[in-house]
Amino acid sequence: MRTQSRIIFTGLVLGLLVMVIPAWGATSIQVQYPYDIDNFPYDWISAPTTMAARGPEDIDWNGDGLYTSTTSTRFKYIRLGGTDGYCKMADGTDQYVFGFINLTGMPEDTILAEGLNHANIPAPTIVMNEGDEVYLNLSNLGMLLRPDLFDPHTVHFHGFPNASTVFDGEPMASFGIRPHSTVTYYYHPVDPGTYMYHCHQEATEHMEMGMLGNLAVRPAQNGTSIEYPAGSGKSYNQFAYNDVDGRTGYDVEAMIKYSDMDPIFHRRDEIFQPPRFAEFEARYFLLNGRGYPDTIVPTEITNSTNGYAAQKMNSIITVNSPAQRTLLIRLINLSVQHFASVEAPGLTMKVAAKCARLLRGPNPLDGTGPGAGNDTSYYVTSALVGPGETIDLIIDTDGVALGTYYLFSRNLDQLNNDLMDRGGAMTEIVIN
Amino acid sequence: MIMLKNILRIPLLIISLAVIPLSQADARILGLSGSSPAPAFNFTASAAHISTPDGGSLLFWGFGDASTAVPQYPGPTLIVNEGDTVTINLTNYLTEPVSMTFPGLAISSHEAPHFPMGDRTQLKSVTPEAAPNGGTQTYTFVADKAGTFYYQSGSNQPIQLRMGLFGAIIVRPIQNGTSKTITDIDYRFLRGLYTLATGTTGTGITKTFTQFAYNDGDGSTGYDREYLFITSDMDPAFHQWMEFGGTYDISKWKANYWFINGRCGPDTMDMPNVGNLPNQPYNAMPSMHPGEVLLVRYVAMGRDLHPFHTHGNHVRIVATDGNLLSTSAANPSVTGADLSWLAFTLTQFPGKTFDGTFTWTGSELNWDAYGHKPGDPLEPYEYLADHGKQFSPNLPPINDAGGLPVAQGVAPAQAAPVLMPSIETTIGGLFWSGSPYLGSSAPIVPGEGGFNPSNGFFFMWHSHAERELTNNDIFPGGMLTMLGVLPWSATIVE
Repeated sequence: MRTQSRIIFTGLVLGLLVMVIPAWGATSIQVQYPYDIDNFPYDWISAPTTMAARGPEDIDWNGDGLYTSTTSTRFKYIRLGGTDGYCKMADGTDQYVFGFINLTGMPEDTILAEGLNHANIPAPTIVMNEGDEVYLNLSNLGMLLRPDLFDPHTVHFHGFPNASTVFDGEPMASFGIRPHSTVTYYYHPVDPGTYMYHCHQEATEHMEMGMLGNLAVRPAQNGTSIEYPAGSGKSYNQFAYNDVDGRTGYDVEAMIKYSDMDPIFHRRDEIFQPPRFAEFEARYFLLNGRGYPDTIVPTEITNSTNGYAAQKMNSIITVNSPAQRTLLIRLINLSVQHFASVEAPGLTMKVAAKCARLLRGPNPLDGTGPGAGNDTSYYVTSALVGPGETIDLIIDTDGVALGTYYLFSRNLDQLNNDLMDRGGAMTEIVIN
Repeated sequence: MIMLKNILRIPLLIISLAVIPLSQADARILGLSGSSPAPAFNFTASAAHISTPDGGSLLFWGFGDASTAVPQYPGPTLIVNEGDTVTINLTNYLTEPVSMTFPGLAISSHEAPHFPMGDRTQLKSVTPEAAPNGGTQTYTFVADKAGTFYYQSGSNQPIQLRMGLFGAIIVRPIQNGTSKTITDIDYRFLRGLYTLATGTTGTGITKTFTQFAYNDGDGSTGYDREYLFITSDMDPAFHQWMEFGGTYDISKWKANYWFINGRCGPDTMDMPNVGNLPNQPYNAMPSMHPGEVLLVRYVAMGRDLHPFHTHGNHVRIVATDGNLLSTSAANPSVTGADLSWLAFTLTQFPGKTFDGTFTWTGSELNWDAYGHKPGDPLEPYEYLADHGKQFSPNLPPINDAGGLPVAQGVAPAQAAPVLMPSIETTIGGLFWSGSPYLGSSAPIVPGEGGFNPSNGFFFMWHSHAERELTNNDIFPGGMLTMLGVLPWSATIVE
């Protein structure tokens, strides 16, 4: 019954949109790309449509958790759309959401058809290299079900040091972008680490509604072979930070974002009711936008309401030993309310970094740079990460029995999908 | 912002914002100092009401200065010197016993047992109580170490601390007044200072301080300006129950107001000591010039955990609970705050204090944050490598009109990495100058902006548990304020 009324309602709104879209076509959505990508000027008209020709963006295009960063150019461009949509919870219910979709390289005349009402949960993962110059275009596509909102959107790169206001995406100190318009953000990431991004416009509502994404900056040290620990015979060539001695080296990388949803809050937004912040009560607890067991479903998850695969990202972590040994988990919390205390029984976790900074104190006695200072990393059984915090966990699987382990929130009320038990914020670490 | 659902709220927001001064809010740490080495304070404990920006009024219990007998939320901040013997004479006008404790500092009048064996109805404070309805009690503690501390009632704490019987204590170190020069190595200030306008780049830049949070020995807790952030929370239903009775299940306590220094946003950005907030004299709106070092003192007096996020830059946490983060507490002059860490979000948890240093210079944006042309004079602490940077030496970025740049605002092509969107496509905020550059302005949508006359960069400092950005269901508000990074040409009034 509920689904039926939803479809009828969606049809009504779509009917209205058909009348409106031609007018949008005349509106220019200004997109900026740097001149020297692939040595030819880029604009949206000539943007190629195939992956191979699209250029060197570092973005998780299909949600498989892989992103290429083999580019030789430091110029990157990304185009995100901000819109609404649906996603499916592990108990089978659909939730109305706001979110971002990756529009990079998409021809302009297909953007609304491809993007509108197709928010991704979570937002596309963005990974950049230290020293990149990143042009991020945000196009506000509007909300299919809530044209009455005409909300602006922003992208806030959370935790970027020495930020300017114009590219910080915090609308009190800058601005949001209106529907059917585009803003270009420019970033020059020089501090590697694990970050997050989200819409900061009416932040409480837009974040709870799903405009949340993973963000990481890879260090310049990558590509250097460093033996760690010294004399162990084990070398790494990819690292979480410029640690000098290789202590954040890893073989396998995972990004896990904890968030949660209050279905009543989402339902109220869907049926044109004002949000109720005071009564907020999360009932779904998600890793990368899914509750267990959907977290270990390798494929995309398609919702029933608009038939779109909004949840492209799984949270399966696989370590193929002995070639792979050390696991880096970039843990991000973007809940609007809850702390998560994450544990993985059977595995020992080291907190190597917090808030995108290597846990190492300054050393006033010498001036030798990042390699100096006290090692302030520590080992934990359970790692607490609060809303707006990131931590980098390193798990050494050397000598660990092969098999399947669980990574989950030890907060016991975060282990269900509404009324469905044995779910929530949990995923598997498989050591083969 | 302009949603149907918010239209009714706009008058409220306007009313609450109308009294905010033009951005250079006074937010230095206000409080009571007395005279060293034996400052004495006369306190009252009594009841009054606080105001919230949504028009709410909640009963609270607060400590106050007996000279005015006005209870405050939070109580008066005590600012004393290391080594002082501090005396507080408390008169309790509440209807139940009240006491004062000073966690982290040595009390000289301890009462035991505080939990008589076998009598669970007799849980009392570890310090002597002031009797209800006018009873008095005297408390003495020795401020034997520098740092950020707090006082709170030791009696019936589940009720009295929810009701607001707490306040901050700042103990200034004996090192103050000496001069220490700190070298900005190893990202101490996270790309804040290590490139100064002197033309030197890289590590090795020095800065000299004469005021410090701790006896660090090396200047690692030195600062130019200091600000206090006392965080707390309230469930309005609890306070209504305390005032009017009825039924209330305290196990269902759920915060719907969140405070910094006793005010909900946006009242946090109002001036201190304003007449419309008689019981909430302290504001919380930090201001600084680029390259200045702020000392941020956090005191967590709420029931819940609050992840506090600082836009703009990381905070270097140099101390917790009044203890320098040093490997050698016995000899800090050797090590300084060498166990400190950097946080973009710092969780405030009940009864905890943190001290952190913060700065901002906008280094390595890869564009000139001031919009300088090559050859323009440098601003203090400006990042030299970006000075007058020609961002796109060939052409400005193209646009959909076929490659021709569209002039929007005043973006000078020599520095902006991208073209600004036309103002019709944006909705700007109260603190938006219209310009990407510090110290410049540009046209904005009529009716927007207006709270940033010196064209500073403003960064939101707020709880990242985003539900806490509301005032009892109304967004925006709650645990929120703005840091103003103002150009050196602007005067910061303190």
